[in-house]
Amino acid sequence: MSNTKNKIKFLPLNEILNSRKLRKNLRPEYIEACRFFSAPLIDRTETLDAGIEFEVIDRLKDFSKIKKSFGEICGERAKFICEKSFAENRKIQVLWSGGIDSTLALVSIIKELEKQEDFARLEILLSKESIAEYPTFFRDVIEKKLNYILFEPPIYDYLNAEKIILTGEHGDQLFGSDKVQHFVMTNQAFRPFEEILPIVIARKLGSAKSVDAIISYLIPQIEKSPVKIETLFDFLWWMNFSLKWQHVSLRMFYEEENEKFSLDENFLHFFSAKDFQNWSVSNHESKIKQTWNSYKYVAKECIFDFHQDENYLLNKEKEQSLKDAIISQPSWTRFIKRPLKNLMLFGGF
Amino acid sequence: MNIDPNLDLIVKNFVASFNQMCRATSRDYLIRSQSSKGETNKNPKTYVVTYKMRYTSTGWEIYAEWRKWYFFHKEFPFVQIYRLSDNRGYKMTGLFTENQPVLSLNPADFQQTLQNFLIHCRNLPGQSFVNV
Repeated sequence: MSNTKNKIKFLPLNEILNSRKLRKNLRPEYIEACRFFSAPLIDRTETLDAGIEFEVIDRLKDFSKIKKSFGEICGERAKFICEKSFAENRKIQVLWSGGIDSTLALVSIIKELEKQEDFARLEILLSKESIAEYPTFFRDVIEKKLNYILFEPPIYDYLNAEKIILTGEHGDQLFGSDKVQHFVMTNQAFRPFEEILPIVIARKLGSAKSVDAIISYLIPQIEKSPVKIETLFDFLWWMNFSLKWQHVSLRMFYEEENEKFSLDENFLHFFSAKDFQNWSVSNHESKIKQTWNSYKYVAKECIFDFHQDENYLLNKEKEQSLKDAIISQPSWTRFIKRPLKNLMLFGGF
Repeated sequence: MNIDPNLDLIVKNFVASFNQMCRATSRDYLIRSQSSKGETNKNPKTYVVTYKMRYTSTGWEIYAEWRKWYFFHKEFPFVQIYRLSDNRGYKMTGLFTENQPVLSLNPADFQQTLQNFLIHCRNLPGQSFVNV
């Protein structure tokens, strides 16, 4: 068993880019790759050398082909969460943004609790923006029969560690990446990644200087993909799935009283289950068709089975709504509030 | 590399027309919606750009340039036009060039292909065109 004492589980991007102490140890290519992806990267395949050691909490090792449908996996995941809720006698607090991922998580829990006729167990945290994002669902489903709390960001004041907190995180990692939107809309997403990636990196960074170094650095990681990486879409999915997953798992704890919450104990991400990950790898062709509206169409179809809003099914686009709920103040004020050592919440670096 | 002065003039005119088109359709800027300095910065950064051209060893490179005073400068690659090794003509690589045919050495055809590319760019969704 590897020694994890001095390994880091979570690092904010600001620290990677701005901390002199960290930058001395981090590989320059790693820093540039983080800058390009606008995220701290933690390699779940443990292939890339970042210059410091990270503790990987959800390793990517063996994948098995899965025949279950996405809807079936949602049902099983909801059953597991509800059983946990009953066994531990905790209520379930669902963070609903109105987006596709959190709506599907909520729908799955509602369907499971319907069997038990125990909706009192469910509490939904939502904001005005959540309602605006999916008004018919709020009107037809939530407002009528479910307990909900309308919160003003930040969300942390409303989270109750006595309950099971449930988010719709990791939906994007399963299906692709929100970064791919404009590339899909201009038909660039399905071009060979070798052809388009250099220009994408150079444009994002505003310079071609680091392009070759970033690509060379990532090549071994690309080769580890269980799905052949051919297009820019494939590439961005695999990077999101393998490198950004852990950051997404832990980013909500970074903000405030993290000691109260423990991942997979009282804080669960609906789409983090292994079956979902196996589905993502086994059904690569089901993530998107050719248009941006079709992104996550499999998930939207599951929602439509429960709540027949044709407009949502056909036109709903992915929004970055959960992140907006998390962020309540500019990054520089948070930096002042929390000294560096406190930012390393999960590591002993 | 020897460049046909007629073709060179066409490329220069194309860049001028491209800038004109960008100004007329409000595409003369680029937006970086996700900050490269940290995920928590929600405010997109906007760069007002001018498309420029320079020579490469095999043809031309067209890029968008943002400049503030003398010191602050960014370049956003756009397309390259390079001469095919069999001298059949030129080829475009870069953004939005996936369906572009070979540019003939005949100046009129060469100009028409660039004009078609400009129209193609003009017809792309504006928000996606300016997003980097």
